[in-house]
Amino acid sequence: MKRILLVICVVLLSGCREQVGLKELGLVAGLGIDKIEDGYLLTAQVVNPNAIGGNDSNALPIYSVSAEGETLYEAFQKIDNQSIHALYLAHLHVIVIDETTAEEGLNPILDFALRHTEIRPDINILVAYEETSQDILNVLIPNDPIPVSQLDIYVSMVKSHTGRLGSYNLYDTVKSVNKTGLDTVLNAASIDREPRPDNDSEDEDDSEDQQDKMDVASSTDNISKILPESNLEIKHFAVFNDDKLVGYLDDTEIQLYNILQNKDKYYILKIKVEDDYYVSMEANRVNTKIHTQVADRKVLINCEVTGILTENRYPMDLSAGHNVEILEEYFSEQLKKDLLALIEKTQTEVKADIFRIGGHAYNWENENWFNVKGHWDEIYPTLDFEVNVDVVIESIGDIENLYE
Amino acid sequence: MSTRRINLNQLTVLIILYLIGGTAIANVGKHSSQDIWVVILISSILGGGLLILYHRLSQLNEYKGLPEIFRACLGKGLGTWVIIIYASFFLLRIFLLATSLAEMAQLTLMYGESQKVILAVLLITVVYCSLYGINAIGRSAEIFFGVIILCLIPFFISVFSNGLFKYDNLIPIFAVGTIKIRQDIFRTFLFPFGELILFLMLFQFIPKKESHKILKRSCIALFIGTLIIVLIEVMNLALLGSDLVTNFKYPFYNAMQLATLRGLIDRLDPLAIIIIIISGYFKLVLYFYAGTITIQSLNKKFKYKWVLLIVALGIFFVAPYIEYDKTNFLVSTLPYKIMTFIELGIPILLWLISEVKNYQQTKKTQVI
Repeated sequence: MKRILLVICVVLLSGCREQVGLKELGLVAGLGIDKIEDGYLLTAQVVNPNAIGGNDSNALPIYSVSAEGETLYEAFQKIDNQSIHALYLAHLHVIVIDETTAEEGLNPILDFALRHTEIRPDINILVAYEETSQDILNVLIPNDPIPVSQLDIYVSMVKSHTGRLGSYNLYDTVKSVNKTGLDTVLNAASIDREPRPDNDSEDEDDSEDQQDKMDVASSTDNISKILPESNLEIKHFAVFNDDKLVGYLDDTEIQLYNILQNKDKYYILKIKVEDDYYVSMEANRVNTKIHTQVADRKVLINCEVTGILTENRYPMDLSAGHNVEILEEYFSEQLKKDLLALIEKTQTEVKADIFRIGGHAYNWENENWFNVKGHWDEIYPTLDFEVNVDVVIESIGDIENLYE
Repeated sequence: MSTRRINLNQLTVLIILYLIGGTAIANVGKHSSQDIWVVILISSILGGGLLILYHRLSQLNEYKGLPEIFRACLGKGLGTWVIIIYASFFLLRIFLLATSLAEMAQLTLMYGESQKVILAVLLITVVYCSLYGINAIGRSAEIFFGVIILCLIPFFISVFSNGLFKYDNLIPIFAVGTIKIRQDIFRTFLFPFGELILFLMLFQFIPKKESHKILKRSCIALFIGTLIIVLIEVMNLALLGSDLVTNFKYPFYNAMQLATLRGLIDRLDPLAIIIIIISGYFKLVLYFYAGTITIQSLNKKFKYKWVLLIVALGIFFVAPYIEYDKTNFLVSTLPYKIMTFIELGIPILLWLISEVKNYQQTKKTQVI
């Protein structure tokens, strides 16, 4: 009996059933989703193991495959058939979606991603800002052999430092998109095609120029220059109402958003005193508290921001404590003004509760929340926000005064 | 069959693994949204009462096995029918657990692999362990309990060191209403706590001189098991939020996917699989063992190892033809009325009969 069991175990537990060798695997680093008339155009950026491993120095480290399909899975299967490798999604870093797809709704993409158990939750979902996602994936950049991993590193590593980026993994996004009072934001990637001094050209036709630059961006020419013509960047936040794209925030607004989300990051605050003198500080500690009174349609936000002075062009004696307090007042006023402007933008322009006021009401005013939940989209723009800001400069740096 | 004896430590870890096993796979209490942990806590208190009832029943019958208790309380004829009912219950549980575990392994670790192959491998290991008897099961459980604790530690470290724990996901409490919570408390009381009835088959293997400590050790095990389950549920909620916990099939696995110890262990989700598989495996082994000896008790001619083999082969070949609810079927397939009857109704009846018998016996002894 034991011998029979032993033989069966040896046969079944040897671990080589349906094996796929490493060289046969196509590690998908990024997926791009573009809306087309009859469905989706799916682009996969696949890592070329031979080039990465140094076996073939002439080959590019990545290659892209695209296919169309009425559903995402159909397109993915077509890509799988086109590729010489068995596509493997466990190393997927980034999913880039174009604006049209985002405007129609994130749910189909999230559903596709969640049902594939190979796809891990710590991926970044990005919106292609004024580009197709295919173009975003096809840009070759000098500092990383796998372009989309630069986006991933940019978002994942820098997120804890700069307040000008957000970080939302797959589960964070899923949690927000279909819940009333929890509208979400996503980083928006774009291609920086700023004309460089050494390769500036004056073409007559703009679209041809764009196409030419895209051709360069996706070729090795782009990575052979000190100042590449094209680079990937994240300068905007895509704002969603439910799962639909409704607008964007720029990088200044992103950091205001992060301050309201009570995230300890590095924020650059700057003021212009007497219309002439710039003063800036770096804030690194934030304590934001949101109190809701949905029955009275009121929201009270108390925001305490602490940081250090990083630049001062205003001729004042900083050795005197009260002068620092004056600067703090200026910063507080400016920040309050900016925060109110951003809140107004979310109430009037994008009409999305990205500060999760509804979520706060659900957590802390549960009974009142259920009275307003059904028509929260109409209530949010009418909320009366009161913002109190207290900026604290805890250090003025290594020097008190530069000028006499 | 080898040694039929386990010590109190082994009983303790078996109860803990048994409790964790079903809960990790079945996503119990999911209708209660962020109140899952409250549901589990209240159910465990009720489960404690049930455990005391089971123990009392066993104690009144001198820690005999369930088949002997049935025959002693209900007579040979009716007792045999009840044994058949319980044997069928154990077999159904074996089927549900084995297919659950196989499906979980297929979905997470062995994507694309045939479920039959996974089921075969699982059943072979279960049969192999069961062949060595309850002592081998107990000893291996002691070792693997340590493995489970070792796998849980990095998860907890990661959750708190990476700032993954989001308190907001745990509030408000009692937001879904008391009706849903009450229903979930009853369901969770039946599964997994009501399933402790299986241990009425195992108390008989504790040495007689230690049998007075069975209740105390069982309660300690219930406490530790509940603590681990509640901790896991709280972590799941804090990491994923109530909506995802409700909708994911294996929320513990999904929560573990978010956890990482950068620079040391990049992916912790395989640890979740280890925890679920080990705890689920021991639950399965215990059901196998209990089911087999229940069937064996029907006829003295039945040989343990052949019954074991027939049960395993039966599960393997019959599994593809049984239709069941594929979403959370471990809990939903068996109607709650039947579970109430088996886990609560019959034991209460047996306890009352045993108490009366014991009373009469004591009175008779006093008269003599």
